[in-house]
Amino acid sequence: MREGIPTIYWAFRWGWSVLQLVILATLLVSFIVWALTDNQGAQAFSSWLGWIEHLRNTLSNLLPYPWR
Amino acid sequence: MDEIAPLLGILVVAGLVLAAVFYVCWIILATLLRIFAWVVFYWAVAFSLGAVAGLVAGFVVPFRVLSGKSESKPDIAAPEKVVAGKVIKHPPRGFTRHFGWDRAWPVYNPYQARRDAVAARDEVQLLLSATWRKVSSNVRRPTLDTSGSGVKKVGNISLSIVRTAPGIIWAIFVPVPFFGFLIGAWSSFALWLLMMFGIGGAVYVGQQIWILGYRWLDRGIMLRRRASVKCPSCYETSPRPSYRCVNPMCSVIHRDVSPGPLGVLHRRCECGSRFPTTIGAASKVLVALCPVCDEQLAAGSGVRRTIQLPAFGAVGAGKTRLFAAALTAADQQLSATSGSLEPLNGDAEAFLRASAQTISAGTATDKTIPTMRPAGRPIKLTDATGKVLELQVMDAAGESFANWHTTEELTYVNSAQAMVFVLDPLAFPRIELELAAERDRPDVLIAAGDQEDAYASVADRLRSENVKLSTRHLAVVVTKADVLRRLPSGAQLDPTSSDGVREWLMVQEQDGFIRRMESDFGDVRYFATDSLVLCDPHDPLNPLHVLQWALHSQRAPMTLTPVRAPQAEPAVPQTQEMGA
Repeated sequence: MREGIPTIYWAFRWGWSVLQLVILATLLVSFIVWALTDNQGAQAFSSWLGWIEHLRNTLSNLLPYPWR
Repeated sequence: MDEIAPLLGILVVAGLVLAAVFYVCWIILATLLRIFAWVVFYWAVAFSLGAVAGLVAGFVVPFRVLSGKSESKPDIAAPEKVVAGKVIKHPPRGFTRHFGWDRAWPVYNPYQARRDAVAARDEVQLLLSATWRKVSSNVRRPTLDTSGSGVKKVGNISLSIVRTAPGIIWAIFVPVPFFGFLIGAWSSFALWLLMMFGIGGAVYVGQQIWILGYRWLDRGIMLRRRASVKCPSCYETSPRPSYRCVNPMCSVIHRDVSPGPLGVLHRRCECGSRFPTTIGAASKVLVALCPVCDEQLAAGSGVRRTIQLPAFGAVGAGKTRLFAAALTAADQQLSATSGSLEPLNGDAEAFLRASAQTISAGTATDKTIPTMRPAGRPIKLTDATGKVLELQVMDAAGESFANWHTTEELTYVNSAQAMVFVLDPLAFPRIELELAAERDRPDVLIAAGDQEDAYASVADRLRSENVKLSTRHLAVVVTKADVLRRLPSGAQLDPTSSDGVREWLMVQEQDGFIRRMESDFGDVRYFATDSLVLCDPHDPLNPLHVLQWALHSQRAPMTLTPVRAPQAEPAVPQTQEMGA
């Protein structure tokens, strides 16, 4: 018993945490590998930035200034 | 013309003013739209950054909860909640369903795991509300003062806009990234929950398969051994014993130690003590109790077959002496063949010791003290092959068999598959006369009371309670053969076979009684015994044969009587052979 609960509960909790860490680390590594392969990450980021920029431009040009 | 000119002038000026207002409004609107476009750009970036922050925060939350460092503490699946039915929702199945769940810690997955997941969810909620409180503190809510009229009303509205401007700016800049944070945090939690659900589910399925297999393996072994619990105190038969916690300071009784929600390989009692599951493993370390009366049972009860052997008959018929001689003979026989006969409690030990003394000395056995519910004497028999059997000798005083009412308490006869009716031949009228005529009449106790009434006190009561006697076995044991065979009538007794003893009883005008017994019971076997001293195991008068019959009639695979060596073929004289 530890802190009033069976030690096996703590073992399971630590097991879960380690498992979560391993899974998330795997996901993170997979993401980094994907991002670094052929600059896919940079391309995805610039395409996301481009999409926002495009949205901003579309909104801005909905009503042009009278002199344009 | 002069009259139209000022009007035209006014119209031109008005048109110019209108055009100016229109253009100003256009420019303001176009500017506002551009500002809004930048706000939307900000929202997109801030939402994304907030979501990333939320993902990281949501990722950390389960670690904090599972390491016990969170603000929201998990509810613990403690044994008192198990007993109250708050942890395992379904009641226990089978034999222990009336007892409810035992006071023990449940397995982590799924019972505590579910509570930990709830605590992680609460912790995410706590984190989000704390973050919201932090970013929304000291922010004035936008309120519009529309009181007054005309210029005053416009002034009030403008003033309230200026006053609440920080609130408006806050409303533009803060909620969207917070929303991103919220989505990120919940997504992270959902990912953790999904992972826990997936892996936890797989663990649970594996656990259930193991529990089922392990439980049935244990049950299968017990079934093969035909193991059960027969309480020598309350006489009740139960499929499994209860167990007292391994910790001597703990008073918790575990009703079902089979693998299940309270432990797969081991169980943890409320006090924290750990012991193995399954009856086979638990019986090696725990004290067994009767599930009905909670009386302590002999060590190893529940993992071996138990046979209760009751004897009944009139006062002084020789029941106790019969058991004393039979058990002493069994002890000697088992010891001689690498087996053993072991008393399982103090009473049985004292009885065996006293029996050995009285049989070797040839002295009389003490009269059994009449009690309402005499406790059985558990004795463990182990043969040379290692087969184990618990024999419970149920020996009540003859006074208990006076009538139906006196046997009502002796409920062990209701479940006994084989029983022994002890018949004293010296109480038969003709034999009594022959014994009285003897010159050197031996000092022997003769059964008191009607022996047929003693039989009826058990058989008739069982029939009245709809106990099917036709499937039961009865041994009719004619005792005191040592005295009987000295009398003229006794000389005709052939103890070598059941038919021989039955024939002799018929000659003694017991034919009506015999017919009655044979119509009641499905299987009646007759024996004659000499319990004064220890006879040779091959001697048909040895009471060991009664014990052997009791075991065989219940298909107990144990041999107590010695196997007679085959007789050597008589050698053919050489002369004859030659002559042939």
